[in-house]
Amino acid sequence: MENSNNMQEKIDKNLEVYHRSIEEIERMPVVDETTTICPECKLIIKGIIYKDGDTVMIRKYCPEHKWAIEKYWEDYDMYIKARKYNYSGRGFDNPNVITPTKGANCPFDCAMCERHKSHTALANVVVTNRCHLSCWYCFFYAKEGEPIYEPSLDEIDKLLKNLRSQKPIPANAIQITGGEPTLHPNIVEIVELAKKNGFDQIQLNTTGINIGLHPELAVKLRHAGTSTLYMSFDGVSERANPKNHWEAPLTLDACRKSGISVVLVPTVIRGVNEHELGAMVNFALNNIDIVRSVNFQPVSLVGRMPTKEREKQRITIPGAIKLIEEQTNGVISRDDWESIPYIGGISKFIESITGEFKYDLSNHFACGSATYLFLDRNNKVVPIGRFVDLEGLIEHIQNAVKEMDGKSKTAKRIAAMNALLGFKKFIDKENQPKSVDFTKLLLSVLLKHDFTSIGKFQMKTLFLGMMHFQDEHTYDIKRVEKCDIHYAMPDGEVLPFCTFNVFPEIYRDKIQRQYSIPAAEWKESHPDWKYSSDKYVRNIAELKKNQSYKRTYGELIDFFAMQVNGGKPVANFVKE
Amino acid sequence: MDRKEIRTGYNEGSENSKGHAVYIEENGKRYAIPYKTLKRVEFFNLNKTELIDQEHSARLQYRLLLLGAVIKAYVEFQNAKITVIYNPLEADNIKEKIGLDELIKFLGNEGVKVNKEHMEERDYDYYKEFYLYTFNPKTVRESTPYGTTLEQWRKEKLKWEKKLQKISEKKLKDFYEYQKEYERLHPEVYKTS
Repeated sequence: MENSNNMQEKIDKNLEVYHRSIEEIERMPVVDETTTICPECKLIIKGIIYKDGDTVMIRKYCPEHKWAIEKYWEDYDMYIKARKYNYSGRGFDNPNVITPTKGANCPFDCAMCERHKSHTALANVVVTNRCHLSCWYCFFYAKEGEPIYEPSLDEIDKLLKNLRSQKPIPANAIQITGGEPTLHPNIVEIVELAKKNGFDQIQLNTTGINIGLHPELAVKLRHAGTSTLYMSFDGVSERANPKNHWEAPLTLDACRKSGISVVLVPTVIRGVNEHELGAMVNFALNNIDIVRSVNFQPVSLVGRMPTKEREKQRITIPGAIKLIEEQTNGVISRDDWESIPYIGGISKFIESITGEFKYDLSNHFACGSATYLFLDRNNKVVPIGRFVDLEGLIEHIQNAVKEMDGKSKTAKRIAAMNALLGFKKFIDKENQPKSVDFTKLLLSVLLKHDFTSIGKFQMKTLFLGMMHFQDEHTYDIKRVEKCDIHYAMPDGEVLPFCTFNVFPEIYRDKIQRQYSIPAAEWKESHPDWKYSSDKYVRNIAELKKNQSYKRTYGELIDFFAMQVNGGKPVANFVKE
Repeated sequence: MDRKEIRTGYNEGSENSKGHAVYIEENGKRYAIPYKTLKRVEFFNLNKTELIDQEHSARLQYRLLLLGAVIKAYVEFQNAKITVIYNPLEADNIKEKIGLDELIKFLGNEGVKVNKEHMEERDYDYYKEFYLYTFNPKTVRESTPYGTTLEQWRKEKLKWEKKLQKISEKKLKDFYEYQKEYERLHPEVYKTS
């Protein structure tokens, strides 16, 4: 086995799971079996998910490369809880490719084949591989001299129409990404195209820097239909977030003026920024007027790196959740989180009542978790689980779905009405935030048959999400089959996130290269363009003098230090 | 028939392409595609022992796809067949290319010996045989909403499709009204005459 058994070395408690003999590991309780890949040669092999103390691990044996083990989920109890919500959704009635192998060589048959088990909940469309930053860990952007991938408006329109033609559920949420999408000269037109093609939710995956520096761009993007800025934000301090710490205040202000809501997206890496997770939630609460969500992404360690480095940097969803609990002094506890497919139960209920297809979050339970925070009038931070019996509620809803199955419209209406009348017993009105009538909110969602009615309540809410994308070491083919975050490729194929990014050499990079323009030809057709002119150079001293910067970081309130929230400061509270 | 009719035509040898793309025209719009004519080769009656098993076949497929000149590869263990779509040496483009002999040698190095007598090769039109389908896939099955039988769904389906069409039209109308109002609220960017 590759991992060392050197007992002379002092082993970090967090890394003990990597330092066991295989004989010890084979005696540990097996939790599940799955199919995975050898991280070295990509042979499809069996994966055993097992319990090592509190941690859920995966072990796999390749005849050529022997044993590999990796953390799967850093908390067994949370794994068992999340596993309750794991059901098969619907794939595509019109898959983009029919393969002769019928998907038997998954994940190397990918194109969105007939075996896939989830529809596109979020479609990513890459509009350029040019970027104004050169982040050390990123493989997405074009280096100097490399071909440029930048589809035309007509080509992007074609991809959008392809997504909207999916059956039975067309993609309805799109994330425009890159590189840095705001470098595309037609970014505003692209957003408008997406809106005219019928996408309700349009996100822009960006550093936010161009928007902060050019606020009129934010106005134009909002006018064109942008709903949300999906903005990288790796920490509150300069050290944790060298990507856009100095520009983020300008971006938030530009979004305030234009009306674009913001999702902060930290990539969480142990040893780099895991100490600021609570501080990031606090930062978001301070900007709750414009920040709707913090979507934490535990790092996906794709590509070659030394084993010891990988072990040290590895963090999974429960690991990040437990750090948030610790750093917020239990105000946001691990029990407040549910796995993403939990929402699927509500979608099924709405579908059963209406008899119409609705969005269905049927991704694998290990892919993501979430919770909702309510910021009450007295600044009390109240996670939804503190006043709603979430498990009881979803079980109640699922029973109603079973009762409605195959029944007549009238019988369904009666079952639905009985279910709705029974909701109140799952809501604790005493602990409910004073500014919220959750029963009314829930009924509104269920009776109007969609989630957009939530916006009308104008409460101060913050959604906290966790999405952990896979790499070769954690790869679980059962997760890939259910992936609902997809990429629209220029050749018409649609790929799950964790095939597109984990095997870029046969998917992302290969196909984009086919559709790219060689650097020399790009320069000829863009005579005023220079590679260096794409790159952003900041003046930190000037940015720090800006009023937005001083106000955003200098006037931060620690919500968790307030008596109403327990009175203990959030860990590593940063006030620049 | 649920596939859209598309008027097509190749615009080859465009002075802008210089071999990196072929332009096709669909309904008056122009799209760049990387290839026109490729080769499709099928090796059959292979020795299953050489393919080893399903898992090794999948890995062989992955390894074939690593070759830049291979556009698609399918290793069917059960049928003892390998199909490869590749950019041949004689192709009129500047992309990575491979010859049939080199492909056969590659498979040999992977432990799979192919016999030219059990081989079929032909031209493969990238646009007509691949691209056109991925953008206009056939409906191969019919799902129903949860709690609804196929019979119930077939009665409601047309009504639902009409409803979606109406919603779509209303959404667009609302969007244009929203844009007008937004322009009014942001005169710093949208100057009205």
